[in-house]
Amino acid sequence: MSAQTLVSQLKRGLDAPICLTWELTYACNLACVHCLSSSGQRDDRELSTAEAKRLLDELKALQVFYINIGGGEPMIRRDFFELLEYSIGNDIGVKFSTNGAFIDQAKAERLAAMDYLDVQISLDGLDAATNDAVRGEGSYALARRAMDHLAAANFGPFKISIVVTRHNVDQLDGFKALADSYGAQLRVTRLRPSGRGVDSWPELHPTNAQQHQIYRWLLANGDNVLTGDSFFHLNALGESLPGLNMCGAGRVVCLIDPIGDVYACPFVIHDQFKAGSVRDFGGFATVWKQSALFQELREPESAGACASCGSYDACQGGCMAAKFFTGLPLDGPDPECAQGHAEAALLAIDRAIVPASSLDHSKPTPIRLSRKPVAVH
Amino acid sequence: MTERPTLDLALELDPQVALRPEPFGALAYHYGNRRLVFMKHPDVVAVATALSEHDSLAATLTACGVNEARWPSFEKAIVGLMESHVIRQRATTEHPTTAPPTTEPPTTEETAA
Repeated sequence: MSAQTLVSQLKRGLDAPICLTWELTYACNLACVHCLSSSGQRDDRELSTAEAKRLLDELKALQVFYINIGGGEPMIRRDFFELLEYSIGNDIGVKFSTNGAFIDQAKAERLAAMDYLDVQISLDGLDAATNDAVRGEGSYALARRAMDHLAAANFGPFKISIVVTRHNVDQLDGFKALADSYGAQLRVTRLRPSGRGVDSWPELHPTNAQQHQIYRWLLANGDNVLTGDSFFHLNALGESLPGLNMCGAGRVVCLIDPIGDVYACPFVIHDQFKAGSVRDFGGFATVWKQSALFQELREPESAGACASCGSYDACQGGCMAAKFFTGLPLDGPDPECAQGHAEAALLAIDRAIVPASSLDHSKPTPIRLSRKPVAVH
Repeated sequence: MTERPTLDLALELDPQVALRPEPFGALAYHYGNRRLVFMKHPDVVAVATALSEHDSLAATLTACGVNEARWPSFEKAIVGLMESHVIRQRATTEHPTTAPPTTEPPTTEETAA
């Protein structure tokens, strides 16, 4: 079977997701300006420990091999380790994303003793000034301290997870060197205009020239760097980057949010992309297999305005979430279309009508992007 | 790894691998190296899961009713699965094997997010 046939099968959806993200809580000690889930305050409706375990039982029955846990800051949940151990004990591997604030030496050693566990520490700048402008004052030091603890605990190859922005594109080689110095693995993903990113994306997203720079860097380094296949929109520039070249939303990917709502992907926490709830009758499996939204996403997509572009087969029109939250039509070019085909449309968009996230758990006084990076003295 | 032809080897699924049946064949996930492998042919999945019940790949292919004309393509597929550690040589008294490395860093991760 050719790769093309495999992709067309995957587009029709599988009986269970390959890549399932579960945001454990909306509570967070940070207030990153690009937070996909607009996290900050805990939601009273958060799944209880018993509900969370029932969900894990269901995922085991569906043979979900591993889950990606995020938040908010997942380690804020008091039952974090209990759920981690329950999941891994049921043969569901865990990869979790954290800002590292709660990884002290004892917790690092506890994490290092667990099998089938991957830890991703988020870092968005190679220096405190670049990082903290996005992730908040002191967040760089917290992340580096967590990395030091994991290294001291012999955790093994943990991951350092970067969201590429206009301000850190030039630091990619430095991030790779930092990861290598820890024996860690670098993970580089695309900035989405989701959550609080709706507001920060226009000033943070890489320029068109930087898109080309990212593409060249990934071509040169891609085999040793994880990307979550998030840069497939750049395949329009030539040779395909490693990974599946398709949008997996509702087909092989989905998101379960802290209150049990199921969305098509981690980047579309919005009513329009909500398929149901794990609390509904039939649980997660019924939502995954039968929701009208997911059935629709598994239909062949229309190339729309991209049909006349010779690159559509290569880039697939890009990311659904990126189009939605910039106010662009879903059957047209990605806002970061490498050929520049979205530039005119983006300029014509009235920012006032761009959809906002349906849920906002931001704390009352979020960090403002206007705080520019400052030189370290 | 060995000078014996793959067809003669006693093989098995790696104990750290789980298979999930899919319309296109199966998804194989290796919990040790975190690799996700697409097994893109149902017949290859059937052979892979039957390996441990037979003395060799050749015996498995015979038992699964695979026409000998197709053996080279199956052998190629099985060699590929050995390279990604989905399948390994079975430890026997005659031909002890070393376990494949499981400490290498993961090279694939979540797809199509």
